[in-house]
Amino acid sequence: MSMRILIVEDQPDIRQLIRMTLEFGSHELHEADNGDDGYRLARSLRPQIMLLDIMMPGSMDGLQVCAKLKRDPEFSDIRIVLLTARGQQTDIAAGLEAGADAYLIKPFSPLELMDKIDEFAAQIANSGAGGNSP
Amino acid sequence: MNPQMKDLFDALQDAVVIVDREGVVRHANQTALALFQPEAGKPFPDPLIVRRVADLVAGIARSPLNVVVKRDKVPQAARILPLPLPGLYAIVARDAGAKTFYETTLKNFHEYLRADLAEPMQRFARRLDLLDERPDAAEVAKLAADGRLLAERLQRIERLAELFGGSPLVDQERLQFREMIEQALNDAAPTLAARGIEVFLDGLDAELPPVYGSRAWLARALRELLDNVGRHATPKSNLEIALRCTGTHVIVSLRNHGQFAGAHLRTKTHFVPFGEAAEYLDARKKPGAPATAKGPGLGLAIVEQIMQLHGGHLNVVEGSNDGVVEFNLELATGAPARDTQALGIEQAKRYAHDLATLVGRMRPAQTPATAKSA
Repeated sequence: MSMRILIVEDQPDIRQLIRMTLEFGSHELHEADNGDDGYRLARSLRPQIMLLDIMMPGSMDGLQVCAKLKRDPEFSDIRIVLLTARGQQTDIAAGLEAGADAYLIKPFSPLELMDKIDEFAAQIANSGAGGNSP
Repeated sequence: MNPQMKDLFDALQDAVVIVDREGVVRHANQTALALFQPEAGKPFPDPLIVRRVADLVAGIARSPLNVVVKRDKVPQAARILPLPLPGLYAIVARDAGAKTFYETTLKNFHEYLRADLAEPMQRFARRLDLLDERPDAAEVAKLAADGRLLAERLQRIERLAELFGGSPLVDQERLQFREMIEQALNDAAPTLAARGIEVFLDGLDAELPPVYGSRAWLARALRELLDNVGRHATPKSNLEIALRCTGTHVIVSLRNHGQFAGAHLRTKTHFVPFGEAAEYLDARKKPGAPATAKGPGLGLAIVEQIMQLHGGHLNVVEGSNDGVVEFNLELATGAPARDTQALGIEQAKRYAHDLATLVGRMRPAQTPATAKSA
């Protein structure tokens, strides 16, 4: 199933790597390189899945973007995967508290990422909510 | 030159170039290579020196011959002297750049120590004398207080050494400056209250992005700044602490309202970063300058170094006539200065590791489509 996926990551190399990984599927991919643009694009594009780095420049970091979207009923169904170099248990707890649906620690496994996307795609298909329109 | 001799030669701090009678370079140690860029087998780069070597060979000049080497228009004092090996001469120069750097660093450090330690040490010594005369509980309590102050100042030296020693201080904790400011204000409250300094807060309620770094060190930077205010601000003056975000940076400003900056601040003796001590030192040499050091102490050097190691900086804005001084701590939002290259390499390795499996996964997915189109 094709998903609309928004990648929000400030490191171009990592962004490119995610894109390369997800291009194996037939997904519609969008990118942003900071929290503010990520939040704005999430609202306008209404992606089904969002890959969100935590430590990003701008007036919001990834956790703040995640919490803000999840607080808004209109966007709370976006599946958010936090991507971060921070792997401490407290960080994972903070991510989940912000409403994140999954957490991948850098350097992340592309296979794990693809599996996660497939898992979310299946959930979305089963829930019948696959037709988010921007 | 055999390897041991070369090692010995390179270990010398002075620049040494060995030339023959014609001024042609035979050997140059590492310092000389950096300083003069001589090339083995070619004449020494400064033709005047080649001529002076000839003067020595001809007996026109006497050894050791003091000369000035001109390289990149920077004059460099050097000496030419004959070696015990026949027909060979050494051109020896001190690396003035490195020498000046170390001398300035030591001078700066000395000034910081004077500013931070001279008074508490003298006071501690006086208390010890008094204790011999009047060994009562009150004197012991005062001695203990002075001892604690002295210990705290000595710890600063240790901290500064740790910071300049390049310890890996930059952590990636997610931090809200608001909480750290409140904590630092709590710690500094007794000192500020004792001097009647009233604190006004601005922007602490706004939702700001976090910064990433070491909680312990950034809290230390805030404490040092507030300590600085406590020590130097005019009694009964106001201090405004503002927190704001520019989009790319979180900025903490500590700003006085007219009285915080005394005359010594307006002459920039308050904030003297490493490497810019000349102005401060010159000011102290002027007639009528105070005998005791009123410089920045170690605190601001610590703050500046902490900020730099976090990819941020400390700057000071001084009003022209109104005596207003503003200290700004600026930290970039997002990740601190970090080793993205190392992460990139790790990520690339992980990707390569998974690549074969990824391709393997693609094959069964493609096979039915290929069969269908065939």
